[in-house]
Amino acid sequence: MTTSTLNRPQLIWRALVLPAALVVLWSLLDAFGALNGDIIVSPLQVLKTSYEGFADGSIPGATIATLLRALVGWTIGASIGLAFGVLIGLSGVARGLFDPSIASLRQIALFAWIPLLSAWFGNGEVMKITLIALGAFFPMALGAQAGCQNVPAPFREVGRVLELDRRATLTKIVFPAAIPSILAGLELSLNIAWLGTFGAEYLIGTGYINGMGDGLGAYLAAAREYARMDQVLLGVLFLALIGVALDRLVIGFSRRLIPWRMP
Amino acid sequence: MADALTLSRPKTVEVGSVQISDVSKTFRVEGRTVHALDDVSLAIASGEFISIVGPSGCGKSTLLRFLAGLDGPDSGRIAVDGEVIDRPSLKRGIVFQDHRLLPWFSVEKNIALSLHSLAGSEAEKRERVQYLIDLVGLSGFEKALPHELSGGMSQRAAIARGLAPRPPLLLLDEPLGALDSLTRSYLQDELLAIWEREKSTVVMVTHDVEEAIYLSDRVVVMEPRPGRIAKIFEVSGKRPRHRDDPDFVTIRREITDLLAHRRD
Amino acid sequence: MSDVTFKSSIAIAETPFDRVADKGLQGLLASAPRLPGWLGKVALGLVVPFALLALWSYAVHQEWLAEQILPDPRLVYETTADLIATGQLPGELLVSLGRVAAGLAVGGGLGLLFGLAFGLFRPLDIYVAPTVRAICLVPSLGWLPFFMLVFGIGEALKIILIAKTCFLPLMVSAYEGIRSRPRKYDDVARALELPWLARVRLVVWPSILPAILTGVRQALSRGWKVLILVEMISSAAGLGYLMMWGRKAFQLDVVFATMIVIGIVGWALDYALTRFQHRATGWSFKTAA
Repeated sequence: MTTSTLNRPQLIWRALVLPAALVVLWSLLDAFGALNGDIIVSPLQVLKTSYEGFADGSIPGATIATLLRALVGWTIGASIGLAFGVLIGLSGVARGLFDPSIASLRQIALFAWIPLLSAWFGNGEVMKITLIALGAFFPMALGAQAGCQNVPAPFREVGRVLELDRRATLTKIVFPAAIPSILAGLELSLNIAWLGTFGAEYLIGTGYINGMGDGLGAYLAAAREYARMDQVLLGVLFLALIGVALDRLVIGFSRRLIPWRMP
Repeated sequence: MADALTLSRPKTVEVGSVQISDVSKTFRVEGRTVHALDDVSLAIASGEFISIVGPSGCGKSTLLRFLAGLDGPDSGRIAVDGEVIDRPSLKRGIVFQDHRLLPWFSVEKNIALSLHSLAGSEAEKRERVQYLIDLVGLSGFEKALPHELSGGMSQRAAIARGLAPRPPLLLLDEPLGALDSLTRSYLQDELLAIWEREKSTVVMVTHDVEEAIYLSDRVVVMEPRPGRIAKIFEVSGKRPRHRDDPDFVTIRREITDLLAHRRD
Repeated sequence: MSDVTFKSSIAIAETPFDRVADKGLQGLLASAPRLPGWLGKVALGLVVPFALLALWSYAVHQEWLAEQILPDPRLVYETTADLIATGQLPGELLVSLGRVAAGLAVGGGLGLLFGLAFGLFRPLDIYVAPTVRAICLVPSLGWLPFFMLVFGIGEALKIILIAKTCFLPLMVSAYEGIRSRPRKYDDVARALELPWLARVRLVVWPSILPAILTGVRQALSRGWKVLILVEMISSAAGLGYLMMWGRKAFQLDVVFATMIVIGIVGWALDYALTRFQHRATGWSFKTAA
């Protein structure tokens, strides 16, 4: 077998062998009644549940609620993060003032903010949005800072040699050079916003902090509460799919925005 | 701001003369003091093409960075037309070895960037950019991004960017160092043609002795530790020169002998 | 592997050493005002925290918020000291650290093994790796409800979730390390006629170590964050539990104290590993510069 000459479709076919085998095994075990029906459900059951979920609108509804929440929180957090990151990246004084504080606060795991935020803002939208914005803030600020701070020295020298004024140096050298790093921050912050939304909804939905709510997190929390494995699998699948789709969206957007390549 | 420069008219006054007097510079490298330049003096006349050769560490690039105004000496004085250099200026164009075209701008915009801080109408600047693109033979590549260009083409664009503000003094830091030998000798001839047309003073740092003799009026040979001028060679002979000319061969022998001798 | 990689955090590059004096020093940082040494830096960095602390004290003094919601900073300090003195905080911290260590050992070890196997054996890479990567596409957080149904909410859940989190960074870094290591050093080893074991020990292992250590750092930092979450949801011990208890009892001083400890420990773990990484594979930072 000469594996080195495989083309893309061949690779995809080979990649699908194992999952297909697993699904077949899963179905067979189910057919012979070898599975504990409470915990392991059949593939058919998952399909049926997803059909029902779409028919009664519970899955699309939950997804949209989560997505909207993530986008609102992300917009707020990422904009503030961008402004802060650029400021810290450009000004030495601002860096000295804020960098240590931001670096320390960043170390606190996002979900560790929940008890505090829920005490201050309750369990409603304000708390969730604040948490998501907080999560989106740090990667965006870090990306913008790194981008503005790490402009390659040769490019800065070009700006000096060409006698560019401060404004032209920023718009023609610093910001273009920072764009890749800013986009990386954007991608990471969107990812964190999406997961943070889910986590907040789930945590509140489990009733560990009083309250319920809507969204994919709450859907999954309820599914787990009633031990509906089919719904759990479906929700997890959706969570992953939307996360990957968001990611792809940002990457596609980045490719369009950056037609150039660094030397 | 260098608003005194004129974009469209060739200059009539003799400018671009350089006076380097008693320039010294030391660096700290891994706890040791390195004398990059030790009491270097050199006068360059207006319109002269001068090359600096020498082994690495002899301070030739440091000297060029001083001339550009990117760094300054510890002691001594460097002046262009009697004016002491204290910062970079468009009156002294520089072309780096690693072309340093901004990757996010097209060839056209990269060249236009060197006119950004100059007075003059947009139309005038556009005309100047187009003239330079034609001059360096990049017509048809105006909209190309740097990563789409070959090494030789990038270097031409970089030369055009250095020439755009009509600097009386053009500094070349191993401008052809990264190119293959065919492209290199081709661009050497172009460089000569450009120099003859633009009438600027040129200071070029290079590793290539032959290139230095082929192009220059004078070749400055430097030696390292401490960085000093070992000897200055006058190259007479009309251009274009021939590399197998007896005079050419003699000077090349002398310079290579000197370099081999100094390299301990 | 191009499709599935973990999100890497953005690094602010350290200023590379300028190797050649001939190129001249990079005099371009001169545009930013230089501060007088580390003392000035520390002083400047403390301005914002002290300003916040002052505002906090003032807010408490003026009773802008109920004391339950915004405890006095002094109370937070006393509670922290108290929690440490009674041994409760160190105790919970040990529990949490133990869980992370167990999760990292299991998940990281498996990840390393899988990554190496995928990198070394092409059939495995073709038939098995895509499935494993697809499973890893589902974030740890998403697995939480599934794992809770399957494994209950006991100790196993925490270890497994952390292990799952640590698995991916190590798998990816080991795989990338194997696949992208420069082949030219293999030729060197062959030219020197090194025996197999010496080749692995002297050439292969050092060349993938930087990638693996980066993976370990990633794994630890993510594992720590997931641990806090899972402890908040289901635990009777650990920092997350302590914090949740403080919240339910409306003792926000305890919440504050725990948050501070979580931040400091997270930072310390990363800092220690970074130092270790620099010491063990410092060469890779220099050649990259």
